[in-house]
Amino acid sequence: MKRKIIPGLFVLAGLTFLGFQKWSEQSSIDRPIPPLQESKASPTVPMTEKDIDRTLEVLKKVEAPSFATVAEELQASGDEEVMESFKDYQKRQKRYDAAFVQYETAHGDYRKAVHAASEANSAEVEAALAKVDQEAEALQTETEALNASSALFLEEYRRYTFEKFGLALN
Amino acid sequence: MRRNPISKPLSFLLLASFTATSSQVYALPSYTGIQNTALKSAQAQAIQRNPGLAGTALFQDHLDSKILYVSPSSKKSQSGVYSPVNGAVNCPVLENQFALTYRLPAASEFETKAAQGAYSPYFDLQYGNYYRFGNLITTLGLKIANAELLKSKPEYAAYKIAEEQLQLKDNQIDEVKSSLAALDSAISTAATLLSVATPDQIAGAKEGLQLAVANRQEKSPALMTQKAQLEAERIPLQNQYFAAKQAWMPFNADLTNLAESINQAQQALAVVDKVANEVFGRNEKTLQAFETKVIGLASASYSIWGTEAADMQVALAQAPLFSNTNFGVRQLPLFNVTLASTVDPASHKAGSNDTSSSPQIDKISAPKNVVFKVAGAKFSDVLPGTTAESSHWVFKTKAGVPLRPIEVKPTASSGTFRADINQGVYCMGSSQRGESTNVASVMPIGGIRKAWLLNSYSYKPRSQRVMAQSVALNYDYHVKADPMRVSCTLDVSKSMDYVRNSGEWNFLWWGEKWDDTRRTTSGFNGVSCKTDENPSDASPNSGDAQARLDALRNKAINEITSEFLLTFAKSWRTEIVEAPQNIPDQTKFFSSLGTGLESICGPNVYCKVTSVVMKSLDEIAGSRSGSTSHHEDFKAVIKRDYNEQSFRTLKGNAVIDLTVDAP
Repeated sequence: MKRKIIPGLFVLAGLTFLGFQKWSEQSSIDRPIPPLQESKASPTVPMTEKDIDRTLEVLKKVEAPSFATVAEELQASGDEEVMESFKDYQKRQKRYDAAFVQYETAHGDYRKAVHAASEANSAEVEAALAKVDQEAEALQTETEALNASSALFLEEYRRYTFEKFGLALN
Repeated sequence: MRRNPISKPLSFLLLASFTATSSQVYALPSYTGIQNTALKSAQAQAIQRNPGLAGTALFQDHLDSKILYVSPSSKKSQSGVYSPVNGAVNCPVLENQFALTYRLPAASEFETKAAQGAYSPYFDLQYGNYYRFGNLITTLGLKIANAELLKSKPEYAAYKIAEEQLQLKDNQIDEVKSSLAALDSAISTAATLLSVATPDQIAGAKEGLQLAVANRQEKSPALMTQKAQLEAERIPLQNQYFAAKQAWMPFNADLTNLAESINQAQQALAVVDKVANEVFGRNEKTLQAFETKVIGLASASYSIWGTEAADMQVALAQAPLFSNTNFGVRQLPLFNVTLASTVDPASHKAGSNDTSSSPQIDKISAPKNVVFKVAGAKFSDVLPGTTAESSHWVFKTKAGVPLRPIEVKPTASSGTFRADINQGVYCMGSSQRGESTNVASVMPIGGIRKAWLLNSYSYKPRSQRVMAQSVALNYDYHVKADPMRVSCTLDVSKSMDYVRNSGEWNFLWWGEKWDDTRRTTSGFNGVSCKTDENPSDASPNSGDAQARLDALRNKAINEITSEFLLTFAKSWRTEIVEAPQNIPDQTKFFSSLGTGLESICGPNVYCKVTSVVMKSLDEIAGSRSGSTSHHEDFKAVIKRDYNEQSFRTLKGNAVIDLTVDAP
């Protein structure tokens, strides 16, 4: 009888340990972002210029997440302001790209007309130039709109990340 | 004492030499010449003396070092006649886009403006975003510093060392286990071979099995002892590891939390940088579009050559390397001269229409030479010193036409053309943006005021009537490439041991690159290759040169392994295998796969040779005694030497500043 009980206890202890380990892993996955406050075991050091240089060097080598990942994170955060500004930025990017293609096409046609014309100021050249100027104006408008949209998104993103990390806006 | 059936320790040197040479050679500019430091230095001195030589390249003749070739200078100016398109110029739009992209506040106002929000894409990318995200950067810096501090604890170092030592011991144990498994596997393979052997193969197969069993009996006791010893040594290391881990564990959670926090802060800042870069990139695209808008045409004549050869001759004569030396500078032979981005590029004359672009190896005409030599011979004694004279040209084009230096006629590479005049040129005087402006400022991060430097561009209106549009002239030229030498040897004794143990010739012919790593991992240790000169990484087309070097090595290896099998194996079987993916295109460089290979595998060269039965030594040496006792005395080497000389076709360009007088 004793022979059966002792191995049984080992099995039970093993299962309990494995169960605890599994629970620990799960809880580590579900763990929220670590708070900024240092834990008691973690020492703190004052910031030096060398630390700043090293941090900036590290940042140069970090690969940014894809915009799909950023969108997922922002969606999951429930922060509508930052999400909307991000969507608008992406939309503006696409509109800019479309405007650039339009400009390039118009300029290509105009260049051909200039090269083909026996004299530099033919009617064909004038018409093609008018189209180029029109597309240039549209391109400049889209460039300015993109700048404004990205500025808004980055400001919202700053608010979002600073809140997430518990930081005061500087 | 029993006399060895072969009177002396048998030593075969089986040499197959394949040498390439030629008696008639046309000289070419040599790429290796421009690697020459002394020549480079002399060229720099020449350019210093005569700035008009800027942008030239200097080559030495590959046969006669006193002959130099100079490429066209890129400092040429050509005047043209301007025809404007009415109403096309709009400098304010260009100026506005410059401001929109690169606008900077006064240096004293950097912090104030950055605090207020976005200013310009360039300013935000270089300064503003760092300022506004300064607190997050500070936090990140502190986290990184704290993580480093934790890692500097002795508990961390002890834990990592213990972990590494335990891993090292585990690796040693695994290695011994693998050796034991290989001995068993060799027996199993030999037994299988015996079971399928035909009557004339049975004796050889039996011998193989006996050898495998004897090998295991001989080696396994020592391996078992070694294994037990390593396992005993592992126990204290494991205890040490657990103790070190336990000591480190209280700090581990802190380090993990810091790492997570660092990662998230880095990702957030990387998103900011990505957006800022994208926006700046698109602004710059818009700016370039406005800069390159065509606002008129200019007509001009041009010549790719000025007085470079004469000027270089004079300037070099004053350099110490060439003073009191009888040398000559010639124009670099060019062909395929084309004008980039011009309206009517066909109106010029080029130097030649030779369009060869594929490097070809020398004519190799020496037949395979096999030499048997008995005992004590050195390699150098039997290396065939004779090289067959060839009546062919050394360098041939892809079409097989002998390559000759191209003669440049005085009127060639010149003509007339029309080129676009762009808005940037009209508004700012040049198609080059010129020097950027340096702006020094200060960035407050983490309580520290750090010096911060920016380089920026701004709109500078044209200050004179003349404007300069850059026009590029592209051309091709030939240079002699670095020679390649590949020497591969097959140690017959080692290879026979390998085959006897495995029963297979386990690799694919023409399959993959036979680099050193693959030879080692495949367990095939009978073949070694030496490449005397690898193509220089800095040399043009080095990727292509590396591929050709690999092909040359594969060819040598396939030949010696084919020859080994045909000479020393009594029988074998072949299995067709699937062609591996991404195989190098061998036929791109060599037209023949080799008769040895074809006689083994047939037309499908992707074959695997199995069930190999090697000849006994007596069969190889011709003795009838049947003894194998002198096995250890047997030495034989199969060797291939390749020496490849080739040329490359490179592209060059020269820039002409087309100057026109604006209205």
